[in-house]
Amino acid sequence: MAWYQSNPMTLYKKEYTHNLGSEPIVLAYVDLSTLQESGMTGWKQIPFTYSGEMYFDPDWGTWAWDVGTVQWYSKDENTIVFVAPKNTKIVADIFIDPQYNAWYE
Amino acid sequence: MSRPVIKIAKPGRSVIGLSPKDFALNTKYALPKIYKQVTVEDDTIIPNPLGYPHGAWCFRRLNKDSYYSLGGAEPASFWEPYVHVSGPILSSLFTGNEYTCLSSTSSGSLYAGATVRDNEIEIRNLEHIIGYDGGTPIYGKDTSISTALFAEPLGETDKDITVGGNPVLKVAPEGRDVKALEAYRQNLDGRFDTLKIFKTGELTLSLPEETIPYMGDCVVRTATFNHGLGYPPMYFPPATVNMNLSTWGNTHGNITLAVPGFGYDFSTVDVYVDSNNLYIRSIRASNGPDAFGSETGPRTHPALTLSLHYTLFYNEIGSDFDLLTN
Repeated sequence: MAWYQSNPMTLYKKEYTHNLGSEPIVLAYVDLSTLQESGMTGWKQIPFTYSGEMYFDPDWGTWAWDVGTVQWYSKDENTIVFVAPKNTKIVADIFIDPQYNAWYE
Repeated sequence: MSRPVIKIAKPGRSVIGLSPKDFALNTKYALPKIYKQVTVEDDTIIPNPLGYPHGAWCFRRLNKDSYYSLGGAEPASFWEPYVHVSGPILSSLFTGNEYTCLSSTSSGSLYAGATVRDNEIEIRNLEHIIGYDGGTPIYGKDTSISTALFAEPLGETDKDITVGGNPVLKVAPEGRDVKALEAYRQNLDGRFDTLKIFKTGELTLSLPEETIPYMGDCVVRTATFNHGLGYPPMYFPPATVNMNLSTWGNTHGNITLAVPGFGYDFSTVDVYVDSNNLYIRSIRASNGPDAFGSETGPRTHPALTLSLHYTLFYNEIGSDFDLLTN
Protein backbone atom coordinates (compact mmCIF):
# COMPACT_ATOMS: atom_id res chain seq x y z
CA MET A 1 0.00 0.00 0.00
CA ALA A 2 2.92 2.33 0.56
CA TRP A 3 4.25 4.58 -2.16
CA TYR A 4 7.73 3.86 -0.88
CA GLN A 5 9.15 0.91 0.91
CA SER A 6 12.28 0.54 2.97
CA ASN A 7 14.18 -2.70 3.09
CA PRO A 8 16.54 -3.35 5.99
CA MET A 9 20.07 -4.26 4.96
CA THR A 10 21.54 -7.45 6.30
CA LEU A 11 23.46 -6.59 9.45
CA TYR A 12 26.33 -8.41 11.09
CA LYS A 13 27.43 -8.45 14.70
CA LYS A 14 30.90 -8.55 16.15
CA GLU A 15 31.56 -8.85 19.86
CA TYR A 16 34.46 -7.29 21.71
CA THR A 17 35.29 -8.56 25.18
CA HIS A 18 36.85 -5.90 27.39
CA ASN A 19 36.40 -7.60 30.78
CA LEU A 20 36.09 -4.28 32.62
CA GLY A 21 33.25 -5.57 34.76
CA SER A 22 31.10 -2.54 33.99
CA GLU A 23 29.46 -0.97 30.94
CA PRO A 24 31.98 1.61 29.75
CA ILE A 25 31.68 4.93 27.99
CA VAL A 26 32.30 4.31 24.29
CA LEU A 27 32.97 6.76 21.48
CA ALA A 28 32.89 4.93 18.16
CA TYR A 29 33.33 5.98 14.54
CA VAL A 30 32.72 4.42 11.14
CA ASP A 31 34.77 4.71 7.95
CA LEU A 32 32.04 5.81 5.54
CA SER A 33 33.95 4.58 2.51
CA THR A 34 33.42 1.04 3.79
CA LEU A 35 29.74 1.54 4.57
CA GLN A 36 27.44 -0.18 2.14
CA GLU A 37 25.47 2.29 -0.04
CA SER A 38 26.51 5.36 1.95
CA GLY A 39 28.14 6.99 -1.07
CA MET A 40 30.38 9.01 1.25
CA THR A 41 33.96 9.20 2.43
CA GLY A 42 35.39 10.21 5.78
CA TRP A 43 34.69 9.20 9.35
CA LYS A 44 31.53 9.81 11.34
CA GLN A 45 30.42 9.01 14.86
CA ILE A 46 27.93 6.19 15.41
CA PRO A 47 25.21 5.12 16.17
CA PHE A 48 22.93 6.00 13.29
CA THR A 49 20.63 4.60 10.66
CA TYR A 50 20.86 5.68 7.05
CA SER A 51 19.19 5.21 3.70
CA GLY A 52 20.91 3.99 0.58
CA GLU A 53 20.00 5.29 -2.85
CA MET A 54 16.41 4.83 -4.04
CA TYR A 55 15.63 2.27 -6.69
CA PHE A 56 12.51 1.05 -8.49
CA ASP A 57 11.31 -2.31 -7.20
CA PRO A 58 9.57 -4.08 -10.11
CA ASP A 59 8.08 -6.73 -7.80
CA TRP A 60 6.11 -4.09 -5.91
CA GLY A 61 5.90 -1.47 -8.62
CA THR A 62 7.09 1.13 -6.14
CA TRP A 63 10.22 3.05 -5.28
CA ALA A 64 12.26 1.60 -2.48
CA TRP A 65 15.47 2.09 -0.61
CA ASP A 66 17.68 0.02 1.62
CA VAL A 67 18.05 1.12 5.22
CA GLY A 68 21.28 0.39 7.06
CA THR A 69 22.28 0.65 10.68
CA VAL A 70 25.61 1.13 12.41
CA GLN A 71 25.55 0.89 16.17
CA TRP A 72 27.12 -0.53 19.28
CA TYR A 73 25.72 -1.65 22.58
CA SER A 74 26.88 -3.24 25.80
CA LYS A 75 25.70 -6.83 25.80
CA ASP A 76 26.77 -7.22 29.41
CA GLU A 77 29.34 -5.75 31.77
CA ASN A 78 32.22 -7.33 29.86
CA THR A 79 31.14 -7.28 26.23
CA ILE A 80 30.40 -4.67 23.58
CA VAL A 81 28.58 -5.66 20.41
CA PHE A 82 29.09 -3.74 17.18
CA VAL A 83 26.39 -4.01 14.51
CA ALA A 84 26.81 -2.94 10.87
CA PRO A 85 26.45 -4.04 7.25
CA LYS A 86 29.11 -6.40 5.95
CA ASN A 87 32.71 -5.15 5.67
CA THR A 88 32.11 -1.94 7.61
CA LYS A 89 35.17 -0.59 9.41
CA ILE A 90 34.56 0.74 12.92
CA VAL A 91 37.06 2.20 15.38
CA ALA A 92 36.03 2.63 19.01
CA ASP A 93 37.52 4.35 22.03
CA ILE A 94 36.54 2.40 25.13
CA PHE A 95 36.92 4.21 28.42
CA ILE A 96 37.62 2.69 31.80
CA ASP A 97 35.01 5.00 33.29
CA PRO A 98 31.74 3.14 33.86
CA GLN A 99 28.52 4.43 32.38
CA TYR A 100 26.91 4.17 35.81
CA ASN A 101 27.70 3.24 39.42
CA ALA A 102 30.90 5.29 39.25
CA TRP A 103 32.50 6.46 42.46
CA TYR A 104 31.68 10.11 41.81
CA GLU A 105 27.91 9.57 41.67
CA MET B 1 61.90 -0.02 31.53
CA SER B 2 60.54 1.85 34.51
CA ARG B 3 58.40 4.89 33.92
CA PRO B 4 56.73 7.58 35.96
CA VAL B 5 53.00 7.29 36.50
CA ILE B 6 50.69 9.84 38.08
CA LYS B 7 47.92 8.33 40.16
CA ILE B 8 45.24 10.14 42.12
CA ALA B 9 42.78 7.98 44.03
CA LYS B 10 39.15 8.71 44.73
CA PRO B 11 38.57 10.50 48.06
CA GLY B 12 39.29 8.42 51.13
CA ARG B 13 41.16 5.65 49.34
CA SER B 14 44.78 4.77 48.72
CA VAL B 15 46.17 4.38 45.23
CA ILE B 16 47.58 1.02 46.32
CA GLY B 17 45.44 -1.82 45.05
CA LEU B 18 42.71 0.44 43.70
CA SER B 19 40.59 -0.69 40.76
CA PRO B 20 41.37 1.25 37.54
CA LYS B 21 37.85 2.66 37.41
CA ASP B 22 38.21 4.21 40.84
CA PHE B 23 41.04 6.58 40.09
CA ALA B 24 40.47 10.29 39.58
CA LEU B 25 43.59 10.17 37.42
CA ASN B 26 45.81 7.30 36.36
CA THR B 27 48.25 8.00 33.57
CA LYS B 28 48.82 4.32 32.97
CA TYR B 29 45.82 4.82 30.70
CA ALA B 30 45.55 7.36 27.89
CA LEU B 31 43.40 10.42 28.39
CA PRO B 32 41.45 11.61 25.35
CA LYS B 33 42.95 14.78 23.90
CA ILE B 34 40.65 17.49 22.62
CA TYR B 35 42.61 19.92 20.45
CA LYS B 36 39.74 22.09 19.30
CA GLN B 37 36.10 22.94 19.82
CA VAL B 38 34.29 24.75 17.09
CA THR B 39 30.73 26.02 16.70
CA VAL B 40 29.22 26.75 13.29
CA GLU B 41 25.83 28.05 12.21
CA ASP B 42 26.06 27.08 8.53
CA ASP B 43 27.59 24.25 6.56
CA THR B 44 31.33 24.67 6.99
CA ILE B 45 34.47 22.96 5.79
CA ILE B 46 37.59 23.63 7.84
CA PRO B 47 41.07 22.32 7.11
CA ASN B 48 42.11 19.31 9.15
CA PRO B 49 45.38 20.50 10.68
CA LEU B 50 46.31 16.99 11.82
CA GLY B 51 46.30 15.42 8.36
CA TYR B 52 44.62 12.21 9.47
CA PRO B 53 41.09 11.11 10.43
CA HIS B 54 40.26 11.51 14.08
CA GLY B 55 37.28 11.56 16.38
CA ALA B 56 34.64 14.30 16.37
CA TRP B 57 31.72 14.61 18.77
CA CYS B 58 28.86 16.93 17.77
CA PHE B 59 26.01 18.57 19.64
CA ARG B 60 23.06 20.42 18.15
CA ARG B 61 21.70 23.68 19.55
CA LEU B 62 17.98 23.28 19.02
CA ASN B 63 15.26 25.81 18.28
CA LYS B 64 11.63 25.85 17.16
CA ASP B 65 12.70 25.19 13.56
CA SER B 66 14.99 22.23 14.28
CA TYR B 67 14.29 19.06 12.36
CA TYR B 68 11.79 16.91 14.22
CA SER B 69 9.88 14.13 12.49
CA LEU B 70 6.22 14.09 13.46
CA GLY B 71 5.31 11.19 11.21
CA GLY B 72 5.10 7.56 12.17
CA ALA B 73 5.90 4.39 10.35
CA GLU B 74 3.70 3.37 7.44
CA PRO B 75 0.72 1.40 8.85
CA ALA B 76 0.91 -2.33 8.31
CA SER B 77 -2.48 -2.44 6.58
CA PHE B 78 -5.17 -0.16 5.14
CA TRP B 79 -7.18 -0.51 8.34
CA GLU B 80 -4.44 0.44 10.78
CA PRO B 81 -4.35 4.03 12.07
CA TYR B 82 -1.89 6.66 11.03
CA VAL B 83 -0.07 8.56 13.80
CA HIS B 84 -1.90 11.69 14.87
CA VAL B 85 0.23 14.43 16.44
CA SER B 86 -1.37 17.59 17.81
CA GLY B 87 -1.43 19.83 20.87
CA PRO B 88 0.48 22.67 22.50
CA ILE B 89 3.76 20.75 22.46
CA LEU B 90 4.07 21.28 18.71
CA SER B 91 4.66 25.00 19.19
CA SER B 92 6.99 24.59 22.16
CA LEU B 93 9.24 21.65 21.38
CA PHE B 94 12.39 23.75 21.87
CA THR B 95 12.98 27.35 22.93
CA GLY B 96 16.48 27.83 21.55
CA ASN B 97 18.47 26.99 24.67
CA GLU B 98 18.47 23.20 24.42
CA TYR B 99 21.33 21.03 23.21
CA THR B 100 21.39 17.39 22.18
CA CYS B 101 23.83 14.88 20.84
CA LEU B 102 23.93 14.99 17.06
CA SER B 103 22.87 11.71 15.58
CA SER B 104 22.88 11.67 11.82
CA THR B 105 19.53 10.00 12.02
CA SER B 106 17.83 12.43 14.37
CA SER B 107 18.82 15.34 12.19
CA GLY B 108 17.31 13.69 9.13
CA SER B 109 20.38 12.93 7.06
CA LEU B 110 23.66 11.06 7.11
CA TYR B 111 25.28 14.23 5.78
CA ALA B 112 24.55 16.16 8.99
CA GLY B 113 27.20 16.73 11.65
CA ALA B 114 30.94 16.26 11.34
CA THR B 115 32.68 14.10 8.77
CA VAL B 116 36.44 13.93 9.24
CA ARG B 117 38.77 13.29 6.31
CA ASP B 118 42.56 13.45 5.97
CA ASN B 119 42.65 17.09 4.99
CA GLU B 120 39.29 18.54 5.92
CA ILE B 121 36.51 18.47 8.48
CA GLU B 122 33.07 18.96 7.05
CA ILE B 123 30.45 20.17 9.54
CA ARG B 124 26.94 20.42 8.20
CA ASN B 125 23.89 22.04 9.78
CA LEU B 126 21.34 20.93 7.26
CA GLU B 127 18.33 22.96 6.28
CA HIS B 128 14.95 21.38 5.90
CA ILE B 129 11.60 22.68 4.68
CA ILE B 130 9.39 23.92 7.53
CA GLY B 131 6.63 25.46 5.43
CA TYR B 132 5.74 27.36 2.32
CA ASP B 133 5.15 31.00 1.51
CA GLY B 134 2.88 30.54 -1.47
CA GLY B 135 4.88 28.14 -3.55
CA THR B 136 8.20 29.14 -2.06
CA PRO B 137 9.65 26.79 0.54
CA ILE B 138 10.71 28.17 3.92
CA TYR B 139 13.74 26.53 5.44
CA GLY B 140 14.69 25.91 9.06
CA LYS B 141 17.71 24.44 10.80
CA ASP B 142 19.40 24.13 14.17
CA THR B 143 20.84 27.31 15.69
CA SER B 144 24.33 25.84 15.56
CA ILE B 145 26.44 22.70 15.64
CA SER B 146 29.22 22.47 18.23
CA THR B 147 31.98 19.92 17.70
CA ALA B 148 34.78 18.66 19.91
CA LEU B 149 37.76 17.41 17.87
CA PHE B 150 40.08 14.74 19.27
CA ALA B 151 43.77 14.36 18.46
CA GLU B 152 43.90 10.56 18.51
CA PRO B 153 44.00 9.04 15.01
CA LEU B 154 41.37 6.52 13.92
CA GLY B 155 44.01 4.18 12.59
CA GLU B 156 47.72 4.13 11.92
CA THR B 157 49.48 7.30 10.84
CA ASP B 158 53.07 8.47 10.63
CA LYS B 159 52.09 12.12 10.80
CA ASP B 160 53.28 14.36 13.58
CA ILE B 161 51.50 17.42 14.86
CA THR B 162 52.76 20.73 16.12
CA VAL B 163 51.41 21.91 19.43
CA GLY B 164 52.53 25.06 21.15
CA GLY B 165 52.63 25.85 24.83
CA ASN B 166 55.16 25.47 27.61
CA PRO B 167 55.66 24.24 30.22
CA VAL B 168 53.93 20.94 29.55
CA LEU B 169 53.31 17.83 31.57
CA LYS B 170 53.65 14.62 29.55
CA VAL B 171 53.44 10.94 30.41
CA ALA B 172 54.24 8.36 27.73
CA PRO B 173 52.98 4.77 27.56
CA GLU B 174 55.22 2.12 29.08
CA GLY B 175 58.42 1.55 27.15
CA ARG B 176 58.15 4.68 25.03
CA ASP B 177 60.41 7.73 25.03
CA VAL B 178 58.35 10.68 26.14
CA LYS B 179 60.58 13.12 24.29
CA ALA B 180 60.43 11.36 20.95
CA LEU B 181 56.77 10.39 20.99
CA GLU B 182 54.13 12.21 18.98
CA ALA B 183 51.68 14.24 21.05
CA TYR B 184 48.70 12.04 20.17
CA ARG B 185 50.53 8.93 21.40
CA GLN B 186 51.20 10.30 24.89
CA ASN B 187 49.02 8.98 27.67
CA LEU B 188 48.92 12.49 29.10
CA ASP B 189 49.82 15.75 27.41
CA GLY B 190 48.88 18.86 29.31
CA ARG B 191 48.63 21.00 26.21
CA PHE B 192 45.31 19.41 25.29
CA ASP B 193 41.89 19.54 26.88
CA THR B 194 40.25 16.28 27.89
CA LEU B 195 36.87 14.94 28.96
CA LYS B 196 36.28 15.77 32.62
CA ILE B 197 33.52 13.85 34.34
CA PHE B 198 31.26 15.94 36.56
CA LYS B 199 28.66 13.39 37.55
CA THR B 200 27.16 10.09 36.63
CA GLY B 201 23.75 8.88 37.67
CA GLU B 202 20.41 7.48 36.67
CA LEU B 203 17.45 9.53 35.46
CA THR B 204 14.13 7.75 35.41
CA LEU B 205 10.86 8.65 33.71
CA SER B 206 7.81 6.62 34.71
CA LEU B 207 4.98 6.51 32.21
CA PRO B 208 1.57 5.22 33.30
CA GLU B 209 -0.82 3.20 31.20
CA GLU B 210 -3.04 5.77 29.53
CA THR B 211 -5.56 6.08 26.76
CA ILE B 212 -5.56 9.08 24.45
CA PRO B 213 -8.85 9.79 22.64
CA TYR B 214 -9.04 9.40 18.89
CA MET B 215 -7.28 12.43 17.32
CA GLY B 216 -6.51 13.72 20.83
CA ASP B 217 -3.57 15.92 21.73
CA CYS B 218 -0.20 14.43 22.59
CA VAL B 219 0.57 13.62 26.22
CA VAL B 220 3.94 14.96 27.34
CA ARG B 221 5.90 13.84 30.40
CA THR B 222 9.37 14.95 31.46
CA ALA B 223 11.95 13.94 34.05
CA THR B 224 14.86 16.24 34.88
CA PHE B 225 18.14 16.17 36.72
CA ASN B 226 19.29 19.57 37.94
CA HIS B 227 23.03 19.69 37.21
CA GLY B 228 23.27 23.38 38.08
CA LEU B 229 26.43 24.01 36.07
CA GLY B 230 25.09 27.21 34.56
CA TYR B 231 26.05 26.12 31.06
CA PRO B 232 25.11 23.21 28.78
CA PRO B 233 27.46 20.27 29.45
CA MET B 234 28.49 17.49 27.10
CA TYR B 235 26.87 14.24 28.09
CA PHE B 236 26.87 10.51 27.41
CA PRO B 237 25.29 8.22 26.14
CA PRO B 238 24.66 9.56 22.63
CA ALA B 239 20.93 9.83 23.20
CA THR B 240 19.22 12.51 21.17
CA VAL B 241 15.79 13.94 20.43
CA ASN B 242 12.98 12.43 18.44
CA MET B 243 14.01 8.87 19.15
CA ASN B 244 11.66 6.07 18.31
CA LEU B 245 10.68 4.64 21.69
CA SER B 246 11.15 1.06 20.54
CA THR B 247 14.86 1.79 20.12
CA TRP B 248 15.36 2.92 23.71
CA GLY B 249 17.32 -0.23 24.38
CA ASN B 250 17.76 -1.93 27.69
CA THR B 251 16.93 -0.56 31.10
CA HIS B 252 20.37 0.98 31.45
CA GLY B 253 19.50 3.61 28.92
CA ASN B 254 22.05 2.00 26.67
CA ILE B 255 21.01 3.90 23.59
CA THR B 256 21.76 1.62 20.74
CA LEU B 257 20.00 3.30 17.87
CA ALA B 258 18.28 6.53 17.04
CA VAL B 259 15.47 5.94 14.58
CA PRO B 260 13.59 9.19 14.04
CA GLY B 261 9.93 9.80 14.53
CA PHE B 262 7.10 8.19 16.39
CA GLY B 263 7.55 4.78 14.80
CA TYR B 264 5.18 1.91 15.27
CA ASP B 265 4.53 2.62 18.93
CA PHE B 266 3.19 6.17 18.44
CA SER B 267 5.73 7.57 20.89
CA THR B 268 8.92 9.54 20.73
CA VAL B 269 11.56 10.29 23.36
CA ASP B 270 13.86 13.29 23.71
CA VAL B 271 17.10 13.51 25.68
CA TYR B 272 18.71 16.94 25.90
CA VAL B 273 20.41 19.42 28.22
CA ASP B 274 20.28 23.13 28.92
CA SER B 275 22.21 25.31 31.36
CA ASN B 276 20.38 23.90 34.35
CA ASN B 277 19.05 20.43 33.65
CA LEU B 278 19.32 17.13 31.88
CA TYR B 279 15.96 16.03 30.45
CA ILE B 280 14.15 12.90 29.35
CA ARG B 281 10.87 13.79 27.66
CA SER B 282 8.23 11.41 26.37
CA ILE B 283 5.65 12.49 23.81
CA ARG B 284 2.82 10.07 23.20
CA ALA B 285 0.57 10.46 20.17
CA SER B 286 -2.91 9.27 19.35
CA ASN B 287 -4.56 7.38 16.54
CA GLY B 288 -5.44 9.13 13.35
CA PRO B 289 -7.73 7.80 10.66
CA ASP B 290 -6.92 4.76 8.54
CA ALA B 291 -5.98 4.80 4.87
CA PHE B 292 -9.66 5.21 3.92
CA GLY B 293 -10.06 8.23 6.19
CA SER B 294 -12.24 6.29 8.62
CA GLU B 295 -12.15 6.79 12.39
CA THR B 296 -10.05 4.18 14.15
CA GLY B 297 -10.66 4.86 17.86
CA PRO B 298 -8.58 5.81 20.92
CA ARG B 299 -5.05 4.61 21.53
CA THR B 300 -3.87 2.98 24.76
CA HIS B 301 -0.21 3.25 25.72
CA PRO B 302 1.26 0.75 28.17
CA ALA B 303 2.89 1.59 31.51
CA LEU B 304 6.60 1.99 30.97
CA THR B 305 9.72 3.16 32.80
CA LEU B 306 12.55 4.82 30.93
CA SER B 307 15.89 4.81 32.68
CA LEU B 308 18.94 6.72 31.51
CA HIS B 309 22.34 6.05 33.02
CA TYR B 310 24.07 9.29 32.21
CA THR B 311 27.50 10.83 32.44
CA LEU B 312 27.69 14.61 32.55
CA PHE B 313 31.03 16.20 31.74
CA TYR B 314 32.38 19.54 32.90
CA ASN B 315 33.10 20.23 29.23
CA GLU B 316 30.84 22.98 27.95
CA ILE B 317 29.02 22.63 24.66
CA GLY B 318 29.78 25.65 22.48
CA SER B 319 32.83 26.85 24.40
CA ASP B 320 35.20 27.17 21.46
CA PHE B 321 38.99 27.04 21.54
CA ASP B 322 41.91 25.95 19.39
CA LEU B 323 44.86 24.56 21.33
CA LEU B 324 47.02 24.13 18.23
CA THR B 325 47.16 27.84 17.60
CA ASN B 326 46.57 29.42 21.01
